[in-house]
Amino acid sequence: MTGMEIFGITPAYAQAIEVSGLSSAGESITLLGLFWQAGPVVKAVMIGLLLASIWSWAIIFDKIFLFMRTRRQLNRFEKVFWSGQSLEELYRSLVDRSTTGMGALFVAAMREWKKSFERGANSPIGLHMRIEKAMDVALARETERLESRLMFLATVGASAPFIGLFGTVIGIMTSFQAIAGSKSTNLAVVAPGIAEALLATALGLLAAIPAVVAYNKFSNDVAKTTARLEGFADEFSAILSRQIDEKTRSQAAE
Amino acid sequence: MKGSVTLSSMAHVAVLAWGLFSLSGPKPLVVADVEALPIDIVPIEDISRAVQGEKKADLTEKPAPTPTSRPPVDAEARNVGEAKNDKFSEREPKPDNRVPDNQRSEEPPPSADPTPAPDVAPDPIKELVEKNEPTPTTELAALNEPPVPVTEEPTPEAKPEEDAAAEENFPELPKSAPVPEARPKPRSAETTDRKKPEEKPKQRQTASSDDKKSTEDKIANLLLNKEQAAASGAKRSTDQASLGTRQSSNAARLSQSEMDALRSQIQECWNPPAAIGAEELRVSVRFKLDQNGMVDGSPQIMESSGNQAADESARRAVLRCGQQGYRLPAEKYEAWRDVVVNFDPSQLF
Repeated sequence: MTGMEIFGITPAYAQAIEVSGLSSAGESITLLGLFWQAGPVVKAVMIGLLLASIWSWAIIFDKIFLFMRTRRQLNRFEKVFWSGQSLEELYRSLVDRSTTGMGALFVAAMREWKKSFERGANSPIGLHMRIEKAMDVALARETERLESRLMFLATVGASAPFIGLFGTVIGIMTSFQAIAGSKSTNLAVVAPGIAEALLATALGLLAAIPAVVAYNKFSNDVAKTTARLEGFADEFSAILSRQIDEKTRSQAAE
Repeated sequence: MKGSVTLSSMAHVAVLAWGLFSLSGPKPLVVADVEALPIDIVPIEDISRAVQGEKKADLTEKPAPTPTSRPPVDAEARNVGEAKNDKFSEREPKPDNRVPDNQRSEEPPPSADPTPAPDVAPDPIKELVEKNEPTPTTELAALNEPPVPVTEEPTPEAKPEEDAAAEENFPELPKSAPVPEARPKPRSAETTDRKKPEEKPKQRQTASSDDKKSTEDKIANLLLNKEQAAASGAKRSTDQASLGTRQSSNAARLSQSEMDALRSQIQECWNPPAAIGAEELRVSVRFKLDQNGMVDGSPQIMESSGNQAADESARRAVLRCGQQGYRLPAEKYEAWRDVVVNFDPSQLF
């Protein structure tokens, strides 16, 4: 008996749900519909997150190209440097161009070397220290260039989920206020508001995930490149130091 | 950097455009196709409980008692069996055998006038006024001297016509006779009316004392079950006999709360003897109850505790509570007509 009654109720209930679902489903479930439905705060959050995503992807593309270029340059310079070519010639070919990476280090060191010998500075220890300083400065400048804007990626990666969550909370809050106002607890009333609010969280995650991944990869790349540059600086400083010693000994012999 | 920014913006626009036009929302959920399954909770008790049948027959799908020979007559009957053996039809009047008895021969045939008793009984006051009922005193006299009036003269109506006009007289007699005996007592207040017919009662007494026998018989006769044996109603079984118990136990069982109620009723009456250890107080008492919840017969000690005083206290408890009758659901009489109560003081204290 009771089973039959329950059975009898079910189809009508299902039908009611279906009808209400159809009426509200058609127009508002697309992304644009969800966006236009949202309140101003949620809209602002979504636009902000979209901009952050655009900017972080710009940085990501920029860094990808930068590191590709840097790696290529380093390889080429190392090949040239260790090819037995005269350092004077190399310096002369590089000094006119704007150089980056190892070239910048090399040019900075050679410039200091040249200046010291042209002016007739004879203290070998002072010359060595000056060359090292010049290369340190050049190295710091290079590292700074490589690292620039990486902090933005870190910031987006850390804060975008929270910003999206903020938008979601605001959206759900307003949609619950609307439910309280309409005094209807039908799921069809609640669902669009919640979906629209969740879009903010989705955007936040969409911005944050690539930013975090890219930040980790790029900081790793920066560390590797910096280590390579430091290694080159040390080697070059050793070469120059040997040369200084040889020159001073030959000068003393004369 | 500019190139990267434009590249990034273009990529975002492309992704958004793709999302807007190809991700056009999920398909709406179709709920209508889902059918709710009706679920009934079936207690296994109904299946496992014994069903009425025949103890020694083979097991078949449906238990049934031995088939009876006659077709079903009365579906209302309680017991399955032959109508001949039915208790209700045993005391059947046999008018033919009683003919030799001179008084009883005057009885009307059972079907001739069954109405007088119902007619008279509900309306005694009318009868009083019309027929000058005897007072209680007169009735006492009638009771004391039944043998005397038989031989006395003033029985003209009843006696002489017993052979010939029996049939004509009887419609009259039942109306006058049965009433006076049956209803006089409560009317003691109305004596003023009854004093008047002083002379008549004499005749009346004799007549009534004479009638009395016949009317008593008549009343008894009327009260008898005169239905034919076939109609007295045994429920018939037409199925093949198959395995089952003698009596159907489909009667509802006592629920836990009802058992608790019975237990608490008995517990109130139980004064377990002092100075006996709880171990020695375990008594199992079996007793039968009638429909009113009264103890039928004497409670029987099924398992003695070994201690006489303890046994007696349990038996007393059952009897004392049974004085007012146990309050139990009447519709479940089958379940509590035969009760075994275990007295276990470990649950009491």
